Amino acid sequence: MHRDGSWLIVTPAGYLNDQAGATLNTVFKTSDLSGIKVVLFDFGETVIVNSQGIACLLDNCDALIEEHQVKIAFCRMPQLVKEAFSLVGLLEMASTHGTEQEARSALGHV
Amino acid sequence: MSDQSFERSFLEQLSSEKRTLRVNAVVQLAKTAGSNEALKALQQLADGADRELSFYAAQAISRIRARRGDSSPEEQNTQTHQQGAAQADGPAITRTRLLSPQPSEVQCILTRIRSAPKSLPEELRPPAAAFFGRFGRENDVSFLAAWLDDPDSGLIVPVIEAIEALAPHALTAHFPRLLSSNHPIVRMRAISALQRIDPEEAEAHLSELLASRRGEERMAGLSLAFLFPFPKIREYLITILGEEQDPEVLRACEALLASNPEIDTTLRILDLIDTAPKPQAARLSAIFKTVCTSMATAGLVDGPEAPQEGIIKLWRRERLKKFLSDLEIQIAVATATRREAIEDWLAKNLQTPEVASFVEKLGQDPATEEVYRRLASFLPKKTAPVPSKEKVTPQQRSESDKLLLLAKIDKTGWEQHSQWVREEARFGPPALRAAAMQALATLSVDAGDLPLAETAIQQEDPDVQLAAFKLLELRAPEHLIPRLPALLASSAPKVRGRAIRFALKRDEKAAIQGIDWMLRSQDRTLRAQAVSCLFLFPFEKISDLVLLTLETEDHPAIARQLLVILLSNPSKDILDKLDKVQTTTSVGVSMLVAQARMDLFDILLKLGIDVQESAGTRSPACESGQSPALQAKTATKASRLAGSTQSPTSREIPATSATAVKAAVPIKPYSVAEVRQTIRNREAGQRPFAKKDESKQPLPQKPRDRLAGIALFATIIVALAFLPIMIPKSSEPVQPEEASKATGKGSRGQDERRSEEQIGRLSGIPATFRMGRPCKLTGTVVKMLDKQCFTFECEANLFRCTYPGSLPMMLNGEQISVEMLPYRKLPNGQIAAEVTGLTLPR
Repeated sequence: MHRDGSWLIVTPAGYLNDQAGATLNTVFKTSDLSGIKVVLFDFGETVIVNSQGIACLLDNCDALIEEHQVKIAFCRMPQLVKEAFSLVGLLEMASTHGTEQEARSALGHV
Repeated sequence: MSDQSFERSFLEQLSSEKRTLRVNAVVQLAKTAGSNEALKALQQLADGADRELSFYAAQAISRIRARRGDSSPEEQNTQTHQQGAAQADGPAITRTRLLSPQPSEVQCILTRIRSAPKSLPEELRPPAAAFFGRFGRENDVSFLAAWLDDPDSGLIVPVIEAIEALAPHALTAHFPRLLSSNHPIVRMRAISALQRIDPEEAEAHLSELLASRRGEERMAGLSLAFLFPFPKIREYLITILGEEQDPEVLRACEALLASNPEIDTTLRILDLIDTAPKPQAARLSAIFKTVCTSMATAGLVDGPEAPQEGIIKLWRRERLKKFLSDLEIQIAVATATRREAIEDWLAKNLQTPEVASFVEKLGQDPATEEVYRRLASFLPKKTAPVPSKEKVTPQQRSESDKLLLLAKIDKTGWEQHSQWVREEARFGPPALRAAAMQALATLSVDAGDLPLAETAIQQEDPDVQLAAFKLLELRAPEHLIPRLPALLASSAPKVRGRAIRFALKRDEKAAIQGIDWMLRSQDRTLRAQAVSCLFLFPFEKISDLVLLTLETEDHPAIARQLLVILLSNPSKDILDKLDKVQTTTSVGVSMLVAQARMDLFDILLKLGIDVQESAGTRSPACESGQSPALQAKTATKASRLAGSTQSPTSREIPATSATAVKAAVPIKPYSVAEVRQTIRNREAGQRPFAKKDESKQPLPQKPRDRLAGIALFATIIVALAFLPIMIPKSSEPVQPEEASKATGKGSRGQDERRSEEQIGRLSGIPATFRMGRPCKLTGTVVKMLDKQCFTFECEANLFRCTYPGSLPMMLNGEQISVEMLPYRKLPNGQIAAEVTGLTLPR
């Protein structure tokens, strides 16, 4: 996870399961999100996101939108992850893009 | 199309990327070609280093020359001198002599080979097998079977054919190895031979081949499909068409469909076209037109208009209603791209009363109401502006205008309309009441609304109930808890779905019971809605339920979502359980399950989970050796006996299907389950090996005469099915330097399949070498081997690196950093590695 101006880029790697999800929760809770306008999840290095990982993402995305009024974006999603997110409604909470660059172009370098 | 056109087309296919097609082109040229140009092209192949293509080209040349009558003794003599010296007991046995023997030589050759089959040079075995297939007898099978030693070489195909011709049952013991071959045509030929002995099991193997993620295997399966009853094959084809991207596979499907033109097929292709993303829809439209033309040619449709126009009219008349009801399910579970395609289609057809009414209906279902909202403004009756009503009070407006106004009210207009909104929420007709309740939920903060919502949630209308639910959930969730049992038992799907999500937070057990009830429903829409909730449950609590539901699910879109849940929670246990799942409800679902097994296996490999297992340790269902169809029938029967507390409208879900099939049926060593495990064990010994992207294959040629093209393609695959076919895989002794290349070929079956999916790279890659794990190493380029391979030295290890695309310019001795996945130690001590990233010095 790294910050780039008003963007927060999160790059989950490997298997996003309950443990990785818990780490994600902790990171978001302990991070200073002031000034962040877009949180971009780059799934290019993610092999798979399981049910608990999806539950964590849902919670985090909810909180980010409701509490911090940030925009959520996803990029480089493997097909299976895309299908899973679509099924659970996660894609309706975020914009999806091919790459980080495309996300920046689409969201106008907020 | 003339013979010359066919010949030209086959000559062009000799340069196809798909080996299956190249071999087929050789076989076809043997049948149809007669020109010197064809002979020249075949001679080049016959003289080449590729032993398989060389053999088939030689076979083709001998046939063409025999047909032309220009086989000359001089050529024979030349071959004799080139390929072997004359022996004391007769002329040397050469490839040419075996492929085109003089009648007077046959007995002599038979006697000599029978007397010392082991002394026959290995390279002469394929032509000798072809020779014995023509002139041998049943007893010859004893030594021919010994030539089936390398099931991954296409050179054993003539041996299979010879044994099949002489004594088919002698192949039984060899089927497990042949059916698990890494070589598509060996598998295909083995299935074809199995069909004579065990047609049901052969069909199960065909299904696995067609479900393969590897284009060449799907092509081989399609070639074989001509030998099976078309009504069954059609189901596979329709399933494949929905997602297939490979132009050659699509052409093969098209050829099969056009060769068996049926009205129902065209109607089903139309169903697919209307829900497919645009690029796929365009491909399917071309296939639709071809099949229509084929139907017209066969006299199945007549009339003055173009055949496709007539079929489209027929579809509108007979299938629209069914299609729309299916669409509702698809919208609930479709991916974003597919949903977009569906929305486009709906928007285009909104003027059709049935479609407009369907869109209205979507607004009543929470799973589809988003689509309704996006399309509502295009609905015929809502497109007209209502300027004259601006000065009319809300109470005086018509119901539809009131609904529009309620949808438009925002925070700025809330104060002005709040009183009217509360009146509508209390006394309005159901639709208005629901809309008013929603407005209250989003715009009001008045505690006085809560009793209003509590009253509304007890109403019969589901929309009103749902709106009240949302209001209470948002502002006073504790008021919902006493009402949960009633809400979970609600017959309204949208209320139940919402209640499940809520209950999950409060009473998980009740929520699971609720979702179980929904999944057992005969109403597909309800099941689709339940599936979308399943991801919200802890996986371990619902995994068995998902698997059981899968067994009876007949809708591919819903089945796919169930499989996505399983694939997203990978484990060896789930793979074992998925192996036991057998479904007879839909061919489409069966194929999806087969694909999911392969995908899950690959995911487990990626995650480094041990998936190797000795044969015969699998599920009772698999061990029974029953075909999937038989297993499923037995399972369903058993589940019926088991019984369960189901509502009259619920479907039967086998509760003990896996164990129920532990019947005393003899194990077939060549059953799909056994063969599948053999393939897995082989794959587990190899690591993923990124290969070229199949999507980069050349586009199909522009059809000059599409139907003629189809006829040609049909000829090809029919011939593939019936003729001696072989596929190349060099079994010549490999040099150490080439050993890894051979390994690469050997693993191609898996590699190409995997190459179709994205292989995720892992972050935080360590900078030290780890076998079977991603790492980033800095070292020296030792040698560039070709445009995709190079050797690389680091940490005193020599890596043979393969890059998925074309390598950038690199020099021997150059320092670079390589992100790689080392996966195997080669016999020459090098470590084979798949490169995922390169960093060159600036």
